Amino acid sequence: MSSLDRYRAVPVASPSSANLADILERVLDKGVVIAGDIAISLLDVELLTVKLRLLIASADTAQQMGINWWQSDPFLSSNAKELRQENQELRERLERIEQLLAGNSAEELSRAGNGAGEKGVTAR
Amino acid sequence: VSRPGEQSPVAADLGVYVHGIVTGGHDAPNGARVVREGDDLGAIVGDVEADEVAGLEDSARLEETIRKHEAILERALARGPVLPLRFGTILGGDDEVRELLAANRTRFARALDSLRGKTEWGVKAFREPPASAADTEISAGGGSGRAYLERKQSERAVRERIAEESAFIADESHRRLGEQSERSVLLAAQAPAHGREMILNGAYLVRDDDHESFRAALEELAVRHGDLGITYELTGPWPSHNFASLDPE
Repeated sequence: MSSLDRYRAVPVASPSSANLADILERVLDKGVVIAGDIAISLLDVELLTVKLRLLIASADTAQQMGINWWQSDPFLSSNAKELRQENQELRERLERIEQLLAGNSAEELSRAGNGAGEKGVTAR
Repeated sequence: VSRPGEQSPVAADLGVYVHGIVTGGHDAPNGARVVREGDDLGAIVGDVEADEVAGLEDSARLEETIRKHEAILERALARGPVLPLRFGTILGGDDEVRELLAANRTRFARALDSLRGKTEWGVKAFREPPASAADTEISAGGGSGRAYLERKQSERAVRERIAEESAFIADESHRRLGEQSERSVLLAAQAPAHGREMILNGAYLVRDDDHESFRAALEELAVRHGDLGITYELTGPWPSHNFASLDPE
């Protein structure tokens, strides 16, 4: 029996389908972010709001938005510390995006007005 | 340019999801299409459906949308290297996707090169709760106050020793797996489930040529630490979410 055969005697589990927590920790916080310098200048303001909502659709922000399925996920619900840290990072990211946006299209935004921007400007 | 997914005018207005960036020869995976720019680059895109956007506050719908993004990336990965984009990346239309590809041709090509022939794997290690702690809990009812305090103290000492040991093994495991990988990263441990504590949550970018030795290192760890109630779990192949990055311009 080779040493490799011996190792095989203790199987390493490989779940056939990925659990949601595994997917979330990858797709929500990882992957290349096309933001600011690349994409935002290409976007309509309306699209931007959609995009920002998607970008920030992560744990705690999602809760604020009334998305609550996180709470029923045992992996995620008790991970408060991680969520707080994530919250902080997301806030910083949103701030950076807002700053970029302010720089890129300050004029458009001011016309759209505070909080009324979602439908305010559709022309480019 | 014809857009096969464009049945609804609403979808066209909402733009396109960009799931990931691929090399030129890449065929579209099921459920998505490829927008090409030149011979060397393409983007895997899907049309944004109105109910997907409206459904972001509907938990089940959001989960479905997230799973769809992942599923498309996984199907694409079966056909060649994929640079995954963050969930929720939406552009105005195919023209903007082409602009994005053209403007970042070199960065995307370089990032795809860095992923060629390599695969991301996830490894988690779990530790069963020590039986002794539960026993102590049950017998903690009687005895003097002093005996109670002593028992509490020794319980805490045991817990601390076990935690140290777990941290040491997690550390060693991550290092051993990292030696068989081109890159590795520690992820935050997920919360305990079914009483099992997750002591390691790592992601590893492994050269396909090194897959056997990576697997052997993992199995060796499982054998060595099995007696301590430690088990390992391998997931993947994953789209390289944890190792996809662009050079600064």
